[in-house]
Amino acid sequence: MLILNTLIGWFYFSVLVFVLGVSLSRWTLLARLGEDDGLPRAFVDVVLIRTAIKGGFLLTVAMLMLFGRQLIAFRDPFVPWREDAWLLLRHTLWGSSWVVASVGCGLAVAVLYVRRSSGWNLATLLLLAVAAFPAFSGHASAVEGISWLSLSADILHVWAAAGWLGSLMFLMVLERSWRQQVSFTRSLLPEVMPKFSKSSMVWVGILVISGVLSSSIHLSTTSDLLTTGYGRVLLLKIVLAITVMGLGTLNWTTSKSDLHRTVTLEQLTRRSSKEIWFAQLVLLVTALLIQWSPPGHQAVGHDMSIEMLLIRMIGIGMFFYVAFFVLLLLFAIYLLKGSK
Amino acid sequence: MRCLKYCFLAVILVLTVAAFAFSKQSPLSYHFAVDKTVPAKDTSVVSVSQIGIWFTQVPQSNSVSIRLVDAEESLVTGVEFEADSADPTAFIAHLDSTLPVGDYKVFWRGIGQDGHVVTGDYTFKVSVG
Repeated sequence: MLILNTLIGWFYFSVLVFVLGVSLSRWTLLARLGEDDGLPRAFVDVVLIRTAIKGGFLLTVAMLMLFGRQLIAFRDPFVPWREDAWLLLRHTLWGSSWVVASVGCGLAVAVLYVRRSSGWNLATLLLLAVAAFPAFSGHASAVEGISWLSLSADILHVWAAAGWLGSLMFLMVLERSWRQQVSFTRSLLPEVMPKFSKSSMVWVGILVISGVLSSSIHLSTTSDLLTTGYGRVLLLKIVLAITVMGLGTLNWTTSKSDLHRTVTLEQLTRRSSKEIWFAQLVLLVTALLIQWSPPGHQAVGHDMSIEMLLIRMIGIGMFFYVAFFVLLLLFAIYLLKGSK
Repeated sequence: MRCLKYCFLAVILVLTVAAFAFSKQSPLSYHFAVDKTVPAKDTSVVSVSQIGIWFTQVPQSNSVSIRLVDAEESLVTGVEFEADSADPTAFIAHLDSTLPVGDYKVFWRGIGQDGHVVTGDYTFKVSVG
């Protein structure tokens, strides 16, 4: 059951990160690129919509699998299945969160299907909201006293994972579609990779900060990393995540060289595929991790070691630092739009 | 290249298994669990006027289900567990009449604040005084 639960969790995380990544790359990578930059805009738009809709369907399937998993665990043999399902969906916090996320996912797909390119605003907002489901149905919601912090750190963590790895997965899909359908010889990566490298630096920063903050909330002391089951799996996740970041750094250095050279391009594509495979392992370990109860679920300052308190304070500080810059960036975008 | 991939996967597998093997905490041991019961687990009592379970945490509302079954695992009817208004971790069934002599099992299920569904059971015996 543990293996099946882990595989379902991995499938869900993987699809969620991918779908949100498609949506975020629409804004962070491809919004301002056009024919002048050597990018076939119409083709990219078609692939974006098609991939997001297909991914949205897969996400709905993943949500149904999560519900099935929860219902089997929730099963009371003395009442009919339908009664249990109704109770789970309508009368528990987990069920309410699941319903909201599923409806959001369905609406996002419907909006993209009906309104095509003009539906991206609403679809992205809906998908960002859907990505809050793991936080509201998991460990982050069980933290006493500072649940607002753990929830926002978890939500940011998912968004950042999608912005980085989901976007990279989409770029690989886009490249493959382009090679198969339009031009086998020309690549789109030289046009989009430099922008991806810049945006992924920001996403990785947010990913690390939110991860450190979440870990400081879920652990009571750094030795928990070695002495508890949750800590050990978290340590494995950290090691894998650092490996993915290392590969990302290699890709970043490659993307700074001349990407129009075939050898460099092939090297980049191969390394990006590796980065994605390693990232899938990180998601698999995350799916395993969430099945343990974290050792440090308590209010601030209670039974917490000094070093963990320090890590949490640094995490909170960095969290607000990032939030400040995001707000500043949004304000700058608002001013720029106003001046046009 | 393929060999390298398999080696890597093997390392991950070994690390994961090691994380399990050397862990004192089972992945299925959650913070949400039973703290105490009345009658106490695996005890023999002469008469029972109430059955109660106290959890270690407040469960998600409406997620708790508690069933009392007899030695044949048939549901004992008329035993309704309700949340204690003074203590939200407690679920108590007040019995109108005392239980007949025999073995009983209490099945419970609930969702912890972290979304984990946790289930369990315990037994007690009603014996002749």
